[in-house]
Amino acid sequence: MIVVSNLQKSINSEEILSSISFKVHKGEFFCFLGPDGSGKSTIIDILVGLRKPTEGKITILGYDRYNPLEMREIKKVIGVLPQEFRTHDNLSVKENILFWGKMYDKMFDINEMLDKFKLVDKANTRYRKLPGNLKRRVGLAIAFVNKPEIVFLDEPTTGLDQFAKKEVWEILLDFKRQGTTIFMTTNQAIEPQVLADRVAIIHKGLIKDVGSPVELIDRYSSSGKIIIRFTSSDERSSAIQKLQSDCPIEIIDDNIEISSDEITLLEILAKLDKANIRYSDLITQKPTLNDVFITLTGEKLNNT
Amino acid sequence: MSNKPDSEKNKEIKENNFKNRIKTFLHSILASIRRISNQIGVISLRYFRSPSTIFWSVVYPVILVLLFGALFSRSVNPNYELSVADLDESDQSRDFIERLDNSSSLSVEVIDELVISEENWLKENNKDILLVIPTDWGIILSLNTSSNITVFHDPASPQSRDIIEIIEEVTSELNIEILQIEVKFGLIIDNYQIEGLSFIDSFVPGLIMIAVSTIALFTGLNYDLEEKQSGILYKLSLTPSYRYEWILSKQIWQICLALIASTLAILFALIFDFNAANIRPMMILFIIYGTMTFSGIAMILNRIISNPDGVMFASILIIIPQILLSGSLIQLDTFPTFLLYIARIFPLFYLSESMRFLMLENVSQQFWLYYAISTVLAFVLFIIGIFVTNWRKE
Repeated sequence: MIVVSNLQKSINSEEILSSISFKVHKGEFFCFLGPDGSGKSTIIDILVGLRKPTEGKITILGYDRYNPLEMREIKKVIGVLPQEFRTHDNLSVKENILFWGKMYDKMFDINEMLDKFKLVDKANTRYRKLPGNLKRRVGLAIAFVNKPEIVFLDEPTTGLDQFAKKEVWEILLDFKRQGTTIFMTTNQAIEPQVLADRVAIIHKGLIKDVGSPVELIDRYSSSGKIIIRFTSSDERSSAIQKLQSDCPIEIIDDNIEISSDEITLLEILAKLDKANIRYSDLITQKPTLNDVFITLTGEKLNNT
Repeated sequence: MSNKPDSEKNKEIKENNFKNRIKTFLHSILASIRRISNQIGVISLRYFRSPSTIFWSVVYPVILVLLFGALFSRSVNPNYELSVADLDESDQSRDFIERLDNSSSLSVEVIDELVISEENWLKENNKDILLVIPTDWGIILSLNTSSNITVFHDPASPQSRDIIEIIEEVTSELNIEILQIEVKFGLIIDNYQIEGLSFIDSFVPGLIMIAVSTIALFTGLNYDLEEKQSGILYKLSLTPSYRYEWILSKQIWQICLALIASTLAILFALIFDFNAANIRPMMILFIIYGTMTFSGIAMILNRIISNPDGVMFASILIIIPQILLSGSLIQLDTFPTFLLYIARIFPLFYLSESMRFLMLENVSQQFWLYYAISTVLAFVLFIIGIFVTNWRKE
């Protein structure tokens, strides 16, 4: 569906993207995970025709991205939600969706769209009067209005609360189930883990690795974390003294974090019992794509 | 087997290809019309839901007509009031007062009260001018001796000079009669304007072009800025829509608005005796040129200046001097010579002057010159505007 090879982009001799290559298959949910400024939005902008690449080969649905006539064909079958997109303030939700739908040769039935995106109650409300999460949902509805084969979503859940995010995820998974190919960028590790079939980790304009979330976690972060909370700082200090000879310890706020690669949970419990150190909570945490990102880049994602 | 079936087959394929191409072409034309009408529909919805835009584009020219129409109609038939203190009350003084009252622009009010201090009287009665005919003025005149009448006036009042001129005129007339001098030659004042034309007739063409230019400049800037800032423009470029469709839909809407504003301006001008015979079909051409010229300027401004405040400030800097100095609002013959040269820099000058020539039936050589300049400016600025407008990020 999407084939990108050796994509490069420089602005004023500064390299924004270097040798980006990847493939997205039909019906796949493909995510780009990376911090702000890593080049995710630039990739989407180039794919959909908003920016010109410096070098590289791109085909979408077999059409050449560089050929203006073929690009027109691409535009007919893709949907895009640009980052921070706002539509006409003085138009109602329904009028806005209809406006964008009529720009294409085919579109979903408006009532079906309002229903799918849970906007029926707000159909006649002016866009400017909507809260942020509903504005985002309208943006998504507009991206899907032309029954696209591929949808490009640039950070569609940024700024949304947990509840609103889950609503968006459900909608996206529903479209994926119906066969729509979804290409999404995000800076939140949880999103590809929940949604994506495959994820590309991008950092400073370079793809670090591509694979399914499970594959990447297995490849780069085979173990999880053990987090221990203590009743007092004295107990915590005693625990650190006792455990640091056996494994590296990370101190975060009042907790200590230990990699389960270094020591097992049973060994920790035995050591704490033996030293009569009391703890208030003990949590085991499975590895996430955030850990993969840290392993691959040595840096944390800025929004986890 | 002969080649005939193959050649027929090829012919059929060619015909089918041709038919398909025609079909695709017609389909793309229809799709284009659908997208343009869709965009015009949305622009008009946005317009009718924005009271401030309606005010500036439609109500504003109507206010200008009402304001200037009222001013001009007053200056065509001025009716000044003159207070007269007749201390003489002789036949001669009454005759003089009657002559003043009979002049077309003056109504005389003879005051009964005794005026001790003229200055105080003017202040107390809120008047600008007072004519005092002294006691025994008539007797002195009949003795063939000179005797003066006195005018007290506020020099700051714009009316008083005109009233004094009328008094002087009547005074000279009376002197000629008393001295029984034969007038050798007189002065006949006529104007070159076609019969039936008034100030409002020459004002309306300029006003229409002011309305057209402000509508094109401000609505153009407003839409472009809003659509750029919200990301609507980028999103539009990601649909099968063409850039020309976006520009054309805006242009068609601006022409519609300009036509509505011009029609309203003319309708309201009729209140002030605007001559409907001045309306000509070719006016539409100048309205289209006006919108092209100023939406071209709007597109160029949007490209050069990225800051929204800067764009609005620049547009005000462009439009205000044009309105004031292009002769659209203020008549050019009141300008000093150097301002006449400056006026020729502005596109609004050529548009207003051509419109004025056209409406007042002065289709002279100068009209064609200004028409040509207006045409060139409209196309050049509009084409530059199209070229510099970028709806992608680079």
